[in-house]
Amino acid sequence: MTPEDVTPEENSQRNSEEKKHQLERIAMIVAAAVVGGSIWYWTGQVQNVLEILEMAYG
Amino acid sequence: MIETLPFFEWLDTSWLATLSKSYGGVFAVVQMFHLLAMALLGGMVLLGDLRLLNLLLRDVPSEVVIDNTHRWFGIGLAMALVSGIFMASAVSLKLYYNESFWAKMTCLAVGIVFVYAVRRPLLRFDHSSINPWAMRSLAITSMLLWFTVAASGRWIGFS
Repeated sequence: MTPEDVTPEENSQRNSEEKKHQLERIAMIVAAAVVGGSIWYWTGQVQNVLEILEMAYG
Repeated sequence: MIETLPFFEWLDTSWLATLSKSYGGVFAVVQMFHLLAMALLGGMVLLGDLRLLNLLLRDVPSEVVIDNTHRWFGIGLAMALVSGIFMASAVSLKLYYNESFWAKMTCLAVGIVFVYAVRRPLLRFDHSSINPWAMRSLAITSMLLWFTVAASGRWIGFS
């Protein structure tokens, strides 16, 4: 089958599938970044609180 | 980098700040709407994301849960933004120098872009055709982002 034989419907479906795969990839990359960022941020915040508690109560 | 201090200085002297600083009752009512909006937003996030993780409402198609929760999520977000700007006007310069406030704003911006540019467009596809790991990623990212928005908002008061 040559590219000329592809119907507009097939072409649209292929584009839609490509878009879905792209969004799936972005979702997984963002998830990794957000999980990493959250662990880093909240670890820092909890450490700060512990330092303040240590200063206050020894 | 965008210089945001002039905006906070302007907000601090705006009519909005005059209103929020002068009338404690008005501030309290707006704060109530802010908390209601967060409860609505958080509830919709939990419902939608826990359904995507297949942990609740398993007898309801996830497409139905997502469509319904997304609508109310938008209303909660709009309410939270409007009431949040009013509340921020009362302490805008204090917020400018607060690390937790910027963490909240960063997560809020990332959350909004994530919901409208990734989560919503991806969930328009038939859910059974979406990679299960992408679905889990969407749910976990969304819950973490909105949890951080709410929790760092509370953290502003402690820092």
